[in-house]
Amino acid sequence: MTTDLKEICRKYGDRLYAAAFNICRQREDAEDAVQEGLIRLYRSETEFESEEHLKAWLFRVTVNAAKSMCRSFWNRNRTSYEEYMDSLIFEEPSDRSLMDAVLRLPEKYRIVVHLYYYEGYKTREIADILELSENTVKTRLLNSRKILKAKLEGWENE
Amino acid sequence: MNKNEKEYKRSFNTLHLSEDFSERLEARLNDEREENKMNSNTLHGFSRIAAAITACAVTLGVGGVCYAADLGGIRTRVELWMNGEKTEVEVDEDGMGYSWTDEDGEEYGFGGVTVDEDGNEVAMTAEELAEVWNTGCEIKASDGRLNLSYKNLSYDVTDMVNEDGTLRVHIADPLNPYTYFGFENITPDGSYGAYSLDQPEPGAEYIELDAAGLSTEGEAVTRPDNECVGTYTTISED
Repeated sequence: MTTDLKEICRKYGDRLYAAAFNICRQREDAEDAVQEGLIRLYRSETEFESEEHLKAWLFRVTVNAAKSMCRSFWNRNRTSYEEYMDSLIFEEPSDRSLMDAVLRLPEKYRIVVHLYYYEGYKTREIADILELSENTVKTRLLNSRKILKAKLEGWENE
Repeated sequence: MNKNEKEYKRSFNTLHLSEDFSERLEARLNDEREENKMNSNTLHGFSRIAAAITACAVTLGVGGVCYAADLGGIRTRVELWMNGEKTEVEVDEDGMGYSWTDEDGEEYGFGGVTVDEDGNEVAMTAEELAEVWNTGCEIKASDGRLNLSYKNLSYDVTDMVNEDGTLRVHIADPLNPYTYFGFENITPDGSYGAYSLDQPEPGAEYIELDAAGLSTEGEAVTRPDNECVGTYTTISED
Protein backbone atom coordinates (compact mmCIF):
# COMPACT_ATOMS: atom_id res chain seq x y z
CA MET A 1 0.00 0.00 0.00
CA THR A 2 1.39 3.35 -0.93
CA THR A 3 2.00 5.92 1.74
CA ASP A 4 2.79 8.63 -0.75
CA LEU A 5 0.41 11.48 -0.11
CA LYS A 6 0.31 12.61 -3.72
CA GLU A 7 -0.69 9.16 -4.85
CA ILE A 8 -3.34 8.97 -2.15
CA CYS A 9 -4.60 12.40 -3.21
CA ARG A 10 -4.72 11.27 -6.83
CA LYS A 11 -6.57 8.14 -5.87
CA TYR A 12 -9.03 9.46 -3.29
CA GLY A 13 -8.95 13.24 -3.65
CA ASP A 14 -12.08 13.64 -5.78
CA ARG A 15 -13.98 11.09 -3.72
CA LEU A 16 -13.10 12.82 -0.47
CA TYR A 17 -14.04 16.10 -2.07
CA ALA A 18 -17.44 14.77 -3.15
CA ALA A 19 -18.09 13.63 0.43
CA ALA A 20 -16.91 16.93 1.91
CA PHE A 21 -18.94 18.94 -0.61
CA ASN A 22 -21.98 16.88 0.26
CA ILE A 23 -21.61 18.20 3.82
CA CYS A 24 -20.35 21.75 3.24
CA ARG A 25 -22.17 22.50 -0.02
CA GLN A 26 -19.37 24.96 -0.59
CA ARG A 27 -16.33 24.38 -2.79
CA GLU A 28 -13.69 26.20 -0.76
CA ASP A 29 -14.75 24.67 2.55
CA ALA A 30 -14.89 21.21 1.00
CA GLU A 31 -11.38 21.57 -0.43
CA ASP A 32 -10.11 22.79 2.93
CA ALA A 33 -11.65 19.73 4.55
CA VAL A 34 -9.90 17.42 2.08
CA GLN A 35 -6.62 19.21 2.65
CA GLU A 36 -7.11 18.88 6.40
CA GLY A 37 -7.80 15.17 6.03
CA LEU A 38 -4.66 14.61 3.97
CA ILE A 39 -2.50 16.70 6.27
CA ARG A 40 -3.74 14.72 9.25
CA LEU A 41 -2.80 11.58 7.40
CA TYR A 42 0.68 13.02 6.89
CA ARG A 43 0.93 13.71 10.60
CA SER A 44 -0.67 10.47 11.67
CA GLU A 45 1.32 7.56 13.02
CA THR A 46 -1.57 5.16 12.55
CA GLU A 47 -0.55 1.74 11.28
CA PHE A 48 -3.10 0.98 8.58
CA GLU A 49 -3.97 -2.68 8.28
CA SER A 50 -5.27 -2.42 4.74
CA GLU A 51 -6.22 -0.06 1.95
CA GLU A 52 -9.83 -0.25 3.21
CA HIS A 53 -8.71 0.76 6.68
CA LEU A 54 -6.84 3.76 5.26
CA LYS A 55 -9.79 4.76 3.11
CA ALA A 56 -12.30 4.55 5.97
CA TRP A 57 -9.91 6.53 8.20
CA LEU A 58 -9.57 9.22 5.55
CA PHE A 59 -13.32 9.50 5.10
CA ARG A 60 -13.87 9.75 8.85
CA VAL A 61 -11.28 12.48 9.29
CA THR A 62 -12.38 14.42 6.21
CA VAL A 63 -16.07 14.18 7.10
CA ASN A 64 -15.32 15.46 10.60
CA ALA A 65 -13.20 18.28 9.18
CA ALA A 66 -16.01 19.18 6.78
CA LYS A 67 -18.55 19.25 9.62
CA SER A 68 -16.31 21.58 11.59
CA MET A 69 -15.70 23.68 8.52
CA CYS A 70 -19.35 24.26 7.69
CA ARG A 71 -20.23 25.03 11.30
CA SER A 72 -17.38 27.42 11.74
CA PHE A 73 -18.40 30.78 13.05
CA TRP A 74 -16.48 32.89 10.64
CA ASN A 75 -17.31 34.62 7.48
CA ARG A 76 -16.29 33.78 4.00
CA ASN A 77 -17.19 35.36 0.76
CA ARG A 78 -19.29 32.38 -0.12
CA THR A 79 -21.06 31.52 -3.31
CA SER A 80 -24.17 29.42 -3.16
CA TYR A 81 -23.96 25.80 -4.20
CA GLU A 82 -26.55 26.54 -6.87
CA GLU A 83 -24.10 28.96 -8.49
CA TYR A 84 -21.35 26.37 -8.26
CA MET A 85 -23.64 23.75 -9.79
CA ASP A 86 -24.21 26.09 -12.73
CA SER A 87 -20.51 25.73 -13.51
CA LEU A 88 -20.63 21.93 -13.55
CA ILE A 89 -21.24 19.93 -16.68
CA PHE A 90 -23.77 17.21 -15.99
CA GLU A 91 -24.13 14.28 -18.34
CA GLU A 92 -27.93 14.31 -18.02
CA PRO A 93 -30.29 17.07 -16.83
CA SER A 94 -31.62 14.61 -14.26
CA ASP A 95 -28.11 14.40 -12.74
CA ARG A 96 -28.37 18.01 -11.67
CA SER A 97 -31.83 17.48 -10.21
CA LEU A 98 -30.51 14.53 -8.26
CA MET A 99 -27.56 16.44 -6.85
CA ASP A 100 -29.81 19.36 -5.98
CA ALA A 101 -32.30 17.10 -4.23
CA VAL A 102 -29.54 15.43 -2.23
CA LEU A 103 -27.98 18.74 -1.24
CA ARG A 104 -31.36 19.93 0.00
CA LEU A 105 -31.65 17.01 2.39
CA PRO A 106 -30.96 17.76 6.07
CA GLU A 107 -27.22 17.73 6.70
CA LYS A 108 -27.26 14.60 8.81
CA TYR A 109 -29.00 12.64 6.05
CA ARG A 110 -26.78 13.79 3.21
CA ILE A 111 -23.55 12.14 4.23
CA VAL A 112 -25.27 8.85 5.00
CA VAL A 113 -26.84 8.85 1.55
CA HIS A 114 -23.52 9.73 -0.05
CA LEU A 115 -21.47 7.06 1.67
CA TYR A 116 -24.14 4.50 0.79
CA TYR A 117 -24.80 5.33 -2.86
CA TYR A 118 -21.51 6.82 -3.96
CA GLU A 119 -18.97 4.90 -1.90
CA GLY A 120 -20.99 1.72 -1.68
CA TYR A 121 -20.48 1.34 2.05
CA LYS A 122 -22.80 -0.91 4.03
CA THR A 123 -24.83 0.61 6.86
CA ARG A 124 -22.55 -1.04 9.46
CA GLU A 125 -19.49 0.51 7.82
CA ILE A 126 -21.17 3.93 7.59
CA ALA A 127 -22.02 3.68 11.28
CA ASP A 128 -18.33 3.06 12.04
CA ILE A 129 -17.14 5.97 9.90
CA LEU A 130 -19.69 8.43 11.29
CA GLU A 131 -19.51 7.00 14.80
CA LEU A 132 -23.26 6.45 14.93
CA SER A 133 -25.36 3.41 15.73
CA GLU A 134 -26.30 1.25 12.77
CA ASN A 135 -29.98 1.83 13.54
CA THR A 136 -29.48 5.58 13.29
CA VAL A 137 -27.83 5.12 9.90
CA LYS A 138 -30.66 2.88 8.71
CA THR A 139 -33.29 5.37 9.87
CA ARG A 140 -31.55 8.25 8.15
CA LEU A 141 -31.20 6.25 4.97
CA LEU A 142 -34.86 5.27 5.05
CA ASN A 143 -36.02 8.85 5.60
CA SER A 144 -33.70 10.12 2.89
CA ARG A 145 -35.06 7.63 0.40
CA LYS A 146 -38.61 8.73 1.15
CA ILE A 147 -37.70 12.36 0.55
CA LEU A 148 -35.77 11.60 -2.64
CA LYS A 149 -38.59 9.41 -3.91
CA ALA A 150 -41.03 12.27 -3.40
CA LYS A 151 -38.76 14.78 -5.13
CA LEU A 152 -37.30 12.78 -7.99
CA GLU A 153 -39.31 11.12 -10.70
CA GLY A 154 -36.64 8.60 -11.51
CA TRP A 155 -35.83 7.52 -7.95
CA GLU A 156 -36.79 3.90 -7.50
CA ASN A 157 -38.22 2.18 -4.46
CA GLU A 158 -35.74 -0.02 -2.63
CA MET B 1 -25.29 -1.67 -9.21
CA ASN B 2 -28.94 -0.56 -8.99
CA LYS B 3 -30.43 2.38 -10.89
CA ASN B 4 -30.37 4.79 -7.95
CA GLU B 5 -26.73 4.02 -7.23
CA LYS B 6 -25.76 4.36 -10.87
CA GLU B 7 -27.48 7.72 -11.27
CA TYR B 8 -26.15 8.98 -7.96
CA LYS B 9 -22.59 8.17 -9.00
CA ARG B 10 -23.04 9.77 -12.40
CA SER B 11 -24.34 12.94 -10.78
CA PHE B 12 -21.61 13.29 -8.14
CA ASN B 13 -18.86 12.27 -10.56
CA THR B 14 -19.06 15.81 -11.87
CA LEU B 15 -17.34 17.04 -8.70
CA HIS B 16 -13.59 17.45 -8.89
CA LEU B 17 -10.97 19.19 -6.82
CA SER B 18 -9.62 22.43 -8.27
CA GLU B 19 -6.69 22.12 -10.64
CA ASP B 20 -4.39 23.91 -8.19
CA PHE B 21 -5.37 21.73 -5.23
CA SER B 22 -2.22 19.59 -5.46
CA GLU B 23 -0.06 22.70 -5.54
CA ARG B 24 -1.77 24.08 -2.46
CA LEU B 25 -1.43 20.75 -0.70
CA GLU B 26 2.24 20.63 -1.58
CA ALA B 27 2.71 24.15 -0.23
CA ARG B 28 0.97 23.20 2.99
CA LEU B 29 3.13 20.09 3.27
CA ASN B 30 6.25 22.17 2.80
CA ASP B 31 5.06 24.43 5.60
CA GLU B 32 4.54 21.37 7.77
CA ARG B 33 8.04 20.10 7.01
CA GLU B 34 9.55 23.47 7.77
CA GLU B 35 7.66 23.68 11.01
CA ASN B 36 8.75 20.19 11.99
CA LYS B 37 12.34 21.04 11.12
CA MET B 38 12.29 24.15 13.21
CA ASN B 39 10.45 22.34 15.99
CA SER B 40 8.78 25.61 16.63
CA ASN B 41 5.75 26.29 18.74
CA THR B 42 3.73 27.41 15.76
CA LEU B 43 0.18 26.16 15.92
CA HIS B 44 0.02 23.64 13.08
CA GLY B 45 -3.67 23.62 12.46
CA PHE B 46 -4.08 27.32 12.26
CA SER B 47 -2.32 28.12 8.98
CA ARG B 48 -5.47 27.62 7.01
CA ILE B 49 -7.50 29.52 9.56
CA ALA B 50 -5.18 32.47 9.39
CA ALA B 51 -5.34 32.38 5.60
CA ALA B 52 -9.11 32.35 5.71
CA ILE B 53 -9.14 35.21 8.15
CA THR B 54 -6.86 37.27 5.98
CA ALA B 55 -9.19 36.65 3.08
CA CYS B 56 -12.15 37.74 5.18
CA ALA B 57 -10.45 40.90 6.28
CA VAL B 58 -9.65 41.76 2.69
CA THR B 59 -13.15 40.97 1.56
CA LEU B 60 -14.67 43.18 4.19
CA GLY B 61 -11.93 45.75 4.12
CA VAL B 62 -12.42 46.59 7.76
CA GLY B 63 -9.74 46.59 10.41
CA GLY B 64 -12.12 46.18 13.26
CA VAL B 65 -13.59 42.91 12.10
CA CYS B 66 -14.18 40.44 14.91
CA TYR B 67 -14.98 36.79 14.54
CA ALA B 68 -16.80 35.22 17.44
CA ALA B 69 -15.44 32.06 19.00
CA ASP B 70 -13.14 30.69 21.63
CA LEU B 71 -10.13 28.62 22.69
CA GLY B 72 -8.26 27.86 25.86
CA GLY B 73 -5.41 26.06 27.69
CA ILE B 74 -4.97 22.39 28.57
CA ARG B 75 -8.04 22.40 30.81
CA THR B 76 -9.41 25.77 31.66
CA ARG B 77 -12.55 27.11 33.29
CA VAL B 78 -14.21 29.99 31.49
CA GLU B 79 -17.58 31.68 31.75
CA LEU B 80 -19.61 31.49 28.56
CA TRP B 81 -23.05 32.55 27.53
CA MET B 82 -24.73 29.29 26.58
CA ASN B 83 -28.41 29.02 25.67
CA GLY B 84 -29.25 32.28 27.37
CA GLU B 85 -27.37 31.61 30.60
CA LYS B 86 -23.93 32.55 31.83
CA THR B 87 -22.35 29.18 32.45
CA GLU B 88 -19.00 28.14 33.86
CA VAL B 89 -17.49 25.71 31.39
CA GLU B 90 -14.41 23.52 31.64
CA VAL B 91 -12.77 23.36 28.22
CA ASP B 92 -10.20 20.75 27.16
CA GLU B 93 -7.41 21.25 24.67
CA ASP B 94 -7.97 19.12 21.57
CA GLY B 95 -5.12 19.94 19.23
CA MET B 96 -6.84 22.55 17.10
CA GLY B 97 -8.38 24.41 20.00
CA TYR B 98 -10.67 23.42 22.81
CA SER B 99 -13.85 21.44 23.20
CA TRP B 100 -16.47 20.62 25.76
CA THR B 101 -19.78 18.85 26.07
CA ASP B 102 -22.86 20.50 27.52
CA GLU B 103 -25.33 18.80 29.83
CA ASP B 104 -27.45 17.68 26.88
CA GLY B 105 -24.47 15.86 25.42
CA GLU B 106 -23.98 18.39 22.63
CA GLU B 107 -20.32 18.81 21.77
CA TYR B 108 -18.79 22.22 21.15
CA GLY B 109 -15.38 23.19 19.92
CA PHE B 110 -13.54 26.43 19.37
CA GLY B 111 -10.13 27.78 18.65
CA GLY B 112 -8.40 30.89 17.46
CA VAL B 113 -5.28 32.88 16.88
CA THR B 114 -4.19 36.42 16.62
CA VAL B 115 -1.56 37.56 14.19
CA ASP B 116 1.12 39.83 15.61
CA GLU B 117 2.90 42.69 13.84
CA ASP B 118 5.46 40.28 12.35
CA GLY B 119 2.77 38.05 10.96
CA ASN B 120 3.25 35.32 13.55
CA GLU B 121 0.25 33.38 14.73
CA VAL B 122 -0.24 33.60 18.46
CA ALA B 123 -2.73 31.43 20.33
CA MET B 124 -5.33 33.40 22.20
CA THR B 125 -5.79 32.74 25.88
CA ALA B 126 -8.96 31.11 27.11
CA GLU B 127 -10.05 34.37 28.69
CA GLU B 128 -9.51 36.34 25.49
CA LEU B 129 -11.48 33.82 23.52
CA ALA B 130 -14.25 33.59 26.07
CA GLU B 131 -14.62 37.33 25.65
CA VAL B 132 -14.97 36.94 21.89
CA TRP B 133 -17.43 34.06 22.33
CA ASN B 134 -19.52 36.15 24.69
CA THR B 135 -19.83 38.97 22.17
CA GLY B 136 -21.17 36.67 19.45
CA CYS B 137 -24.61 35.34 18.81
CA GLU B 138 -25.80 32.07 17.37
CA ILE B 139 -28.76 30.64 15.52
CA LYS B 140 -30.29 27.28 16.34
CA ALA B 141 -33.10 25.43 14.60
CA SER B 142 -35.91 24.09 16.75
CA ASP B 143 -39.35 22.80 15.75
CA GLY B 144 -39.00 24.33 12.32
CA ARG B 145 -38.13 27.76 13.69
CA LEU B 146 -34.79 29.57 13.77
CA ASN B 147 -33.89 31.14 17.08
CA LEU B 148 -31.10 33.63 17.47
CA SER B 149 -29.62 33.96 20.93
CA TYR B 150 -27.40 36.74 22.20
CA LYS B 151 -26.31 36.71 25.83
CA ASN B 152 -29.56 36.28 27.79
CA LEU B 153 -31.88 37.28 24.94
CA SER B 154 -33.51 35.12 22.31
CA TYR B 155 -35.29 36.08 19.11
CA ASP B 156 -37.33 34.12 16.58
CA VAL B 157 -35.68 35.20 13.31
CA THR B 158 -37.32 32.62 11.03
CA ASP B 159 -39.26 35.22 9.08
CA MET B 160 -36.38 37.70 8.99
CA VAL B 161 -34.05 35.51 6.94
CA ASN B 162 -33.78 36.69 3.35
CA GLU B 163 -34.53 34.37 0.44
CA ASP B 164 -30.83 33.99 -0.27
CA GLY B 165 -30.21 32.70 3.27
CA THR B 166 -28.69 35.92 4.59
CA LEU B 167 -29.60 37.90 7.68
CA ARG B 168 -28.27 41.18 9.06
CA VAL B 169 -29.20 42.22 12.57
CA HIS B 170 -28.04 44.81 15.06
CA ILE B 171 -28.39 44.54 18.80
CA ALA B 172 -27.59 47.65 20.81
CA ASP B 173 -25.23 46.50 23.56
CA PRO B 174 -23.17 49.24 25.23
CA LEU B 175 -20.69 46.60 26.45
CA ASN B 176 -19.93 45.25 22.99
CA PRO B 177 -18.78 47.30 19.99
CA TYR B 178 -19.17 44.36 17.60
CA THR B 179 -22.94 44.20 17.37
CA TYR B 180 -23.58 44.34 13.63
CA PHE B 181 -24.13 40.66 12.92
CA GLY B 182 -24.07 39.15 9.48
CA PHE B 183 -25.20 35.61 8.70
CA GLU B 184 -24.76 33.81 5.40
CA ASN B 185 -26.10 30.56 3.97
CA ILE B 186 -28.60 29.99 6.75
CA THR B 187 -30.36 26.69 6.21
CA PRO B 188 -33.55 25.35 7.82
CA ASP B 189 -31.45 22.93 9.87
CA GLY B 190 -29.62 25.87 11.45
CA SER B 191 -26.21 25.79 9.79
CA TYR B 192 -24.67 29.06 8.64
CA GLY B 193 -21.56 31.20 8.41
CA ALA B 194 -21.42 34.38 10.46
CA TYR B 195 -19.40 37.39 11.46
CA SER B 196 -19.73 40.51 13.55
CA LEU B 197 -18.61 44.04 12.82
CA ASP B 198 -18.20 47.22 14.80
CA GLN B 199 -20.02 49.22 12.12
CA PRO B 200 -22.69 48.49 9.52
CA GLU B 201 -21.56 46.88 6.32
CA PRO B 202 -21.84 49.47 3.53
CA GLY B 203 -25.12 49.09 1.70
CA ALA B 204 -26.47 46.43 4.03
CA GLU B 205 -29.80 46.84 5.80
CA TYR B 206 -29.85 45.72 9.42
CA ILE B 207 -32.89 44.65 11.39
CA GLU B 208 -32.78 46.25 14.81
CA LEU B 209 -33.50 43.66 17.48
CA ASP B 210 -35.00 44.86 20.74
CA ALA B 211 -32.29 44.89 23.39
CA ALA B 212 -34.65 45.51 26.32
CA GLY B 213 -33.70 43.27 29.22
CA LEU B 214 -30.22 42.61 27.91
CA SER B 215 -27.81 41.53 30.62
CA THR B 216 -25.44 44.27 31.74
CA GLU B 217 -23.19 41.78 33.48
CA GLY B 218 -19.47 42.07 32.77
CA GLU B 219 -17.15 44.74 31.48
CA ALA B 220 -17.07 46.43 28.10
CA VAL B 221 -15.02 44.72 25.41
CA THR B 222 -11.82 46.64 24.78
CA ARG B 223 -10.18 44.84 21.90
CA PRO B 224 -7.44 46.90 20.21
CA ASP B 225 -8.41 48.14 16.76
CA ASN B 226 -5.31 46.72 15.10
CA GLU B 227 -5.69 43.23 16.48
CA CYS B 228 -6.41 40.69 13.78
CA VAL B 229 -8.47 38.02 15.45
CA GLY B 230 -9.51 34.78 13.85
CA THR B 231 -11.53 32.20 15.67
CA TYR B 232 -13.90 29.38 14.93
CA THR B 233 -16.50 27.36 16.71
CA THR B 234 -18.03 24.01 16.02
CA ILE B 235 -21.16 22.37 17.33
CA SER B 236 -21.77 18.66 17.03
CA GLU B 237 -24.50 17.42 14.76
CA ASP B 238 -25.77 14.56 16.87
